Amino acid sequence: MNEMDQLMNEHSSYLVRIAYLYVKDWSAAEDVVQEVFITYFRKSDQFRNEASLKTYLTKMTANRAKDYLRSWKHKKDVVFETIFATSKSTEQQLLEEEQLASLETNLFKLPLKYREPLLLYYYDEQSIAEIAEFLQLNENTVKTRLRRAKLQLKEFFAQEGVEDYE
Amino acid sequence: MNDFKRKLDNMMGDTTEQERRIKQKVYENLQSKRTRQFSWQALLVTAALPVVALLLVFNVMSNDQLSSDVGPGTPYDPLDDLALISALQKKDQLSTVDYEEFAELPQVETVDGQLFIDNKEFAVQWSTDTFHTVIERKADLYDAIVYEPGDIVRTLTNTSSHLPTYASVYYEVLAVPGDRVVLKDGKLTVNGNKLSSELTEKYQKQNVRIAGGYDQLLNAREYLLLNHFPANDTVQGAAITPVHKIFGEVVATATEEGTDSIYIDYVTDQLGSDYTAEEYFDLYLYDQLVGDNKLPASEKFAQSSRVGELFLESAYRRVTELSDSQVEIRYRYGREGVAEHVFTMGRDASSGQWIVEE
Repeated sequence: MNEMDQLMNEHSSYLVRIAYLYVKDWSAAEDVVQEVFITYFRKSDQFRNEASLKTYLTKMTANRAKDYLRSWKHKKDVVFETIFATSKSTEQQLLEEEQLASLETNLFKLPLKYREPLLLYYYDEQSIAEIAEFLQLNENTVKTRLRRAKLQLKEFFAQEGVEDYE
Repeated sequence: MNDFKRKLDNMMGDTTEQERRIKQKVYENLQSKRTRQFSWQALLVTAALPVVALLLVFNVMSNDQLSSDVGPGTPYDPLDDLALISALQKKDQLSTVDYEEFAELPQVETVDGQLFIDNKEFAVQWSTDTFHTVIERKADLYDAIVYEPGDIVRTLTNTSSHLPTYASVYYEVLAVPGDRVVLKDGKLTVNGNKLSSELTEKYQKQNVRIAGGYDQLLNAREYLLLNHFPANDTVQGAAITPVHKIFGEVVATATEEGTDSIYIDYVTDQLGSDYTAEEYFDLYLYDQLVGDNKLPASEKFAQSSRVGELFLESAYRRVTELSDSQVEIRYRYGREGVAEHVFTMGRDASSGQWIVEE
């Protein structure tokens, strides 16, 4: 197994999940992670070991995923999705809603500004300070957004309650 | 692994297939780059591009035109809110909104692709006398697309703008800068797609129309907003709205019981000295804009035609402490030809509250 194989085997599962939590589309998530690996393999000399490779790749993935969300391609997809949704029958919609996991439905109802700190905190397990630095927000803003996000998903945090993130 | 992370992993399931495809595409991509033929022309063009770009940058953009100076970049948060509903309820100015209809909105947020305000959180019977919506103002107001289709926003509609003159309504963002909006014969399309929803059907029943006719590519600061609570027999259905007329995105509700808020204290006449100069500054703007004029009138605001903008442009201002009892608030836009605005707040020795110094 060569070095590239080893690196992709080690990180692709985690990165594609992070990307999906941003973009809510597996195909787009694959594209994002693919671009991250290609960029890394071409410019790996720029990686200066200041952070772990996992952290570095995760940040690249998050940034690329956000670029995708800002792109016109994504906007067009959303418009198409909206129009397509309007033509579906109520039964079809109900069936689809049943098929979607409740968590997924609720998670992606959260605007990105709340979903992002939530996934960085709970999925990537970053600290408040790290998230604040990455998102260039102050720590109180991060805490507030986490609180609000958690409030929206409180049924999935049933046993923990909404803490203060102090 | 925390419990929520485990739930997310379960939600996403097995990703082996995705990983396999990623690997395959990465190899294909890198392989195709390696096999491309070497070309001196391509090399020359590639080498010349940065030089041309730099020349363009230095010639076209002078230093004071750089738009990178966009303020602190952090929206004023978390008590970045308005007491408009609360204040207007007290003044009985919400009579044009049909509360029964409001309360009957479906629990789900999306109906035929239109985003509705969640009944549970916004219904009137749920609220206390002093509930109000929490509005988040945006950073980079003039430099980025700050709202997305589906966002619920509040607007500054009781001014001289062409918008409806309701004091309290919610709008849904339908189209953003770059979208093509066409209104013809009463039919509205965005990027060629016709809008169809229960809301627009309801419009027909209520004889609500969207005024005018246009075929317009929204510019960098224009949004198409749909009115969620128009009165019967009006033309207030939707309007193209400049970004500086949008107060901000509705992100939550706050209540007297559950929230520390300068605005709730203001509405309930319990204003203390616990708030910062910047929070007081916003309150003065609010009082002037839509409030009860409870605070001492400021000559500086009275002379300004930009009070609404000053409220919205909070991300463009910086606060400098001059002393324990004096603070400077300076709006800097980082653009040629756009003047800075400077205000000074002073702490009143007797009450401890901050006031705008003339």
